[in-house]
Amino acid sequence: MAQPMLEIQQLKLHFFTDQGVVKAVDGVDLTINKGEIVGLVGESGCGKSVTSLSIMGLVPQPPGKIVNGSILFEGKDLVRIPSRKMRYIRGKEIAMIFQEPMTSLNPLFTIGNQLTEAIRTHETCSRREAEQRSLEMLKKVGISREGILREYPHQLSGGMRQRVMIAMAMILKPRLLIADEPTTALDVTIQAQILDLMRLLNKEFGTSILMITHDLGIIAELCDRVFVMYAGQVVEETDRYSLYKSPGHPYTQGLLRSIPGMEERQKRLYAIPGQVVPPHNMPAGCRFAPRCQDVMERCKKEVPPLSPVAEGHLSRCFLHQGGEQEHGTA
Amino acid sequence: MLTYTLRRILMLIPVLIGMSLITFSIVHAIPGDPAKTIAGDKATPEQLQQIRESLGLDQPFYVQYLNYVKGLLKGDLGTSLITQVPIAEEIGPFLAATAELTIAALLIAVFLGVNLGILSAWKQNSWMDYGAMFIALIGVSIPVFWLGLMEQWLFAQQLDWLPSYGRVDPRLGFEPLTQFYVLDSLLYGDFHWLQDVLMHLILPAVALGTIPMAVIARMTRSSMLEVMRQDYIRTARAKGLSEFWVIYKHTLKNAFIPILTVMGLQLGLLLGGAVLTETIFSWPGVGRYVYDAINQRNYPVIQSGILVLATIFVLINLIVDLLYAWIDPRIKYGKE
Repeated sequence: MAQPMLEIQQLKLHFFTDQGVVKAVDGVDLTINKGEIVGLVGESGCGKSVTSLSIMGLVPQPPGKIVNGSILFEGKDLVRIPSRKMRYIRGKEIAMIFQEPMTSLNPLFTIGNQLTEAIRTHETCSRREAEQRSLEMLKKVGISREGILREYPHQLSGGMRQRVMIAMAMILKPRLLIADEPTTALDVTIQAQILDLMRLLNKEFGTSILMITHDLGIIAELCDRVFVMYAGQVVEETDRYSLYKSPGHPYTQGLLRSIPGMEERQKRLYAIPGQVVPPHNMPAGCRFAPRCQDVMERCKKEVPPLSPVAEGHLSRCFLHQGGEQEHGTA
Repeated sequence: MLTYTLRRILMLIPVLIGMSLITFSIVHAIPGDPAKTIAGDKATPEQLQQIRESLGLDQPFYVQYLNYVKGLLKGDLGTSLITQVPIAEEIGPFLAATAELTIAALLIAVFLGVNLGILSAWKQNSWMDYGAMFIALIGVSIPVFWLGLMEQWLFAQQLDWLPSYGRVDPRLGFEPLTQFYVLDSLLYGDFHWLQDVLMHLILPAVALGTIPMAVIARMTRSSMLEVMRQDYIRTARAKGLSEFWVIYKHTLKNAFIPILTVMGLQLGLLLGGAVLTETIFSWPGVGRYVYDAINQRNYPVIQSGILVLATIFVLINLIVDLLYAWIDPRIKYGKE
C-alpha cells in the first residue's frame, strides 16, 4: 500500500479572540500518500484554508494556536518543530500556491527576482544559474516568452501570474504542494489549463498535492481521494468515485445535489437549508444536525464519530452505522 | 520614464513663476523704505530719490517684477543692500551650512524613524510597540527650541561632551573648500577636523531631526502594518524567507511610498524650521541669513533668500516624485 507522507492527527487549531474562542479546526485527521492528489472540500469558513496554513506554519499566532494534535511530515512533527527550522521546510519540502494570483506576487519585484529568490533562499547557487533554472521552470508551466524575468507582475494576466506562482512553488521540486483554491479567481478555460498543469507536475516530479477547493468539479477531474470538511471537522473521507456514486454524509449529499444538472432545466436549484453554525456557538451533537434532513434525536446529543461506510470510505454520521455499531467493531 | 520626468519638470515652470511673484509681492507689501535702509535716517529727500532711481524703485510694480525675473534668468539674485555683494555669491556658504545640517538631521530622522516604525509594526501591540510609539509621541510634541536648549545644557554645559555652537572650532584653523565641512575634512583627509566638525553637527542635527524622526516612525508603522496584511507577504513567508528579508525587502519596499512622501515634506519643513535651530546653535545657515536680513530690512536678500528656499523645496518634491516611479514600476508604466 501507499505510504503516508503527511499525516494530520486530531489537529485542533483555535483562534482566541475578544469575542471568544473560535474552533476553526477541531479534531481533523487527514493523510496524504506519496504522489497522491488529495482534495479537501468544504464551503467558506469550514476550516480548510486554516488547516492548510497550519501545515505551513503560517497561521498567525496569536491569535491562532494549535491546542492539540500533530502534523507528521515524513516522520517530523511540524507542530513541535521550532519556527526557525520550519523555515527550511517551507518552500523547499512543502510549497503552497494561493487563491489570488493577482495579489500573491509582490508588485515591486520582477518575476525573475521573485523566482530566483525562491531558489537562493534554500540553495547556494549563482544568480546566472538560478535564472537559468527559473527560465526552465517557467517553460514547464507554459511561459516561454522572451524577457519574462525582467517583467513585473502587473504586466502579466491572471492566468500567467498563477503559472508564475506554480513555477515558484515547484522550482525546488517540493514533496508536497498545497494548492488553496488556485483556480477560483481564474476564468474557466484558464482553470482547465492550470489543472492540467498540476496533474502534469504531479506525474513528472512525483509531488503530492493537497487541493483545497469548494468546486466538486475540480475534485472529479483531479483528485484520487477526497476529504469533506464541515464546521472545522472532517465529515467524510472517500475516493472520488464513491463520492459521486454513494456519498455517505448528508452534507456531501447536499453539496452534490446543489450542482446544476443538464436535465433538470425546470427545477429550482437545490440549496442546503439553513446556515453554517456560528463558530462561537457550536451545537453539542453533530454539527450538521441543525441543517440535516435526516436528523434524529441522537444527533442532537452525541457527536458521531468518523466510521466506515465501506472499504476506504469513512463518514461522520449515525445513519450508516446504526446496525454496524451493534454488530460491534469491538 | 523620460516622458514622466519631462512632464514633472515642465510642471515646475508655473510653480516657480507663481513663487517668484508671491515673494516679490510680499516683500513689496512690507512697510518700510529700502532707500532709507541704505541712506540712513539723516538722508535728504533728494538723496532718497536718487537711490530710488538707481535701484529702479520709482518704476511701476510690473516693470520692477519683470526686471527682477530677467535678472533671475541670468542667475542674478540681486545685491545685498548692506554688504553690496551679489546675493548669488554671498548665499553659497549659508546654503551649504544649512544643507549639511538638514542632511544630517534627515539621516538621523530616517534611520531612527524607519527602524522604530518597523520594530513597532513587527511587534505590534507589544511593549516594544508601545515604547516606540511613546518615544514618537514625545518626539512630535517637543518644541525644537526647548530641545536645543536642553541639549546644550546637558551635553555641552553639564557633561561637556559636545560643543554647543558653531560649525567648527576656530582654533583648528579650518579652511573650507566646498563649504560642506564634513566633505571638506574628508577631502583634506584630516581626522581631527572631521571629528571636530561631526561633534559640532550632532546637537543641532538631533534637535532638528527629532520631529521628522517621530513623524516618519509613525508613518512607517502604519504603512508597514498595512503591507504586512497583503497576500504577497504570505507568499514570501511560504517561500521560507527569513523574517529579516520578509520585513526589510518585501514589506519595507512596498511600505516606502508614503514614508517617502513624508520624508520629502519633512525635508522642506527642515529647511524652514532650521531658522530656530540655527539661531540657538549659532549655525551660519540660510535661515539665519534671511532672519538677519529681515531685521535689517535688507529687501533683496529677504526676497531672494525665500525664493531660493522655496525653489529647493519644490525641487525636493520633484525628486520625491521621480523616486516614486523608481520604487514602483506601476507608476511609470501606468502614466505612459
